[in-house]
Amino acid sequence: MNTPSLAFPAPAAATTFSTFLAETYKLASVRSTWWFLGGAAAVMLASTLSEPDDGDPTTVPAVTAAVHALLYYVQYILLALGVLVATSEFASRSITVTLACTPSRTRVLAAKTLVVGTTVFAVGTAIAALGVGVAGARFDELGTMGAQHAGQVVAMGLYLALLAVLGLGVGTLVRRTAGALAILVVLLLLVPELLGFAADRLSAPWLATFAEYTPSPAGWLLMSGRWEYAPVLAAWAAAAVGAGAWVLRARDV
Amino acid sequence: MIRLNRLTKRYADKTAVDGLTLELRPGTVTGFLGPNGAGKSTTMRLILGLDTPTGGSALVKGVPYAELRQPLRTIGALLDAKAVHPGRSGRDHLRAMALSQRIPLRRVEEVLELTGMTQAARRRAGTYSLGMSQRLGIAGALLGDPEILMLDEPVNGLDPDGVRWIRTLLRSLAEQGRTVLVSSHLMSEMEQTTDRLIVLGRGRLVADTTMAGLRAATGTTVRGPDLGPLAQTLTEATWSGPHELTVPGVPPSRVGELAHRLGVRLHGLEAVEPSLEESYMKLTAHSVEYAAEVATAPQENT
Ligand SMILES: Nc1ncnc2c1ncn2[C@@H]1O[C@H](COP(=O)(O)OP(=O)(O)O)[C@@H](O)[C@H]1O
Ligand SMILES: [Mg+2]
Repeated sequence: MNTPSLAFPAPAAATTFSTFLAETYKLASVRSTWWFLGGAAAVMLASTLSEPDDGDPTTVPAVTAAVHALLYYVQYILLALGVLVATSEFASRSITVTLACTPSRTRVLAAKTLVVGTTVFAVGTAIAALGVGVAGARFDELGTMGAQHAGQVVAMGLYLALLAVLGLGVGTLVRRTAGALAILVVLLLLVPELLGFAADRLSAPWLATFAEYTPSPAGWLLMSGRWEYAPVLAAWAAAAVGAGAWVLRARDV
Repeated sequence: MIRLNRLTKRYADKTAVDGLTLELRPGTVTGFLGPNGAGKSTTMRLILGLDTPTGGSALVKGVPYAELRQPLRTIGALLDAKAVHPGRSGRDHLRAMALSQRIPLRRVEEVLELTGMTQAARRRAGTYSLGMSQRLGIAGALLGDPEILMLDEPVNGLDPDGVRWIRTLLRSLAEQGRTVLVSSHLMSEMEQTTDRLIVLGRGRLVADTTMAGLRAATGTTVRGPDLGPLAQTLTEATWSGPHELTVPGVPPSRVGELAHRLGVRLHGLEAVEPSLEESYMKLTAHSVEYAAEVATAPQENT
């Protein structure tokens, strides 16, 4: 009969880096991750290939096309990826294994945040570059692009990364995929609409200003080159992850 | 090894674990027995720090689980075999666990081999049968080569070969000096495996005994023409015939003495040894019906 043996030397104590490695491996070892990332790229491609030239000579349609694709479709795919990194563990109960391996819940969530943030930033920036490149070739304006547009591509990657981290935080907070997505759709779509509507009806322009600080308008401004909105989005992401960490620490799993 | 001190867990409407105090000794297989809902799984979750106790404490090697430097090196646990991402392969599941502890990846192949899961390791865990999931869970528990193993109903869903395999594995682990805590709601699963038995009922410790100790809970049948006075004195006695009483839990010597003192004439006096299953049923039935009295369960009726 097989008997386990003391088959390996005692490893050095696990560190935050080992948790990061484990979480990276977990993200890469489920097929759905690749579907989400590939799907986001495909949607960007399809959208930028079908976007009409807006005929406005003051804008660069290639960048506009990519931003549209991002705000209408791509962001929801990568947002869902961030949500699922948290909620799939609760749905399958594999969170119990994760926490048995790494009892520090803040460390687990920090590692997940880092993995989701860096992955979506890298892939999101690449997808944005793909969209801008494809649309630029279509509209024959690649030659007119410069550092400013490269900056906008990076801003798109940053926006997507912060949004995915926001999704991760909300997913950790509510633990259910459907519930988290519902909250996020309300926050991204409904809240700015309602604020804009209320600003009109109540003639309260400060409400419209306030709306600019919710994630999707802030993201739109960031991607238009207004870098001062990057901290706004970072604050949203940090608040969600912070709330998620607080609940994760306090609650039974 | 593992020390529980007045460990208590209350959920909104339910006390799942109620003031449990016990200590696990190294090098033994301890059976953790109790009917469904007795609090076995909750106790194990509390030991791993997955749930926070309402009161009391659970220490592993003197510290709370969360303070262990390399938890999987110290204690390997299988709580819920199905708690695996269905889209991840068995091998990848174990590799992620190994990476989190800086356990070399070749150890993953060893535990896959050990649990007979090498063939299935490439498949997504969502396609596994319950038996395969149990084996993967045990592979995960063995991954860190831990001193302590804690398995929640590991036999559940295994075929007879698998059951035999688990039994042999548990024994060999204990022989290597490891501490094993294995839970079950079935007495029959414990019989050939465990040294020590901890019986739980309604979250409370009902018995902390050995197989031999449980077997020795002998009762008596007694026959005679007029057993009325005896039946009145021995409250647990039941009539098993017109002239025959059965007295569970009281040995023949005591029944004989009592009959003598009461001046009851006897025609027969015999010991009845209950099966382990019966003893267990009696213990837990008692805890369910008279939960409040168990701690001071009266043995003396004379
Ligand atoms: N998360 C929970 N919330 C509410 N009640 C629970 C929870 N977990 C367990 N219980 C209850 O606590 C009791 C003990 O459950 P459990 O520890 O699973 O028992 P066992 O493993 O011995 O079958 C049961 O009555 C169960 O319904
Ligand atoms: Mg159970």
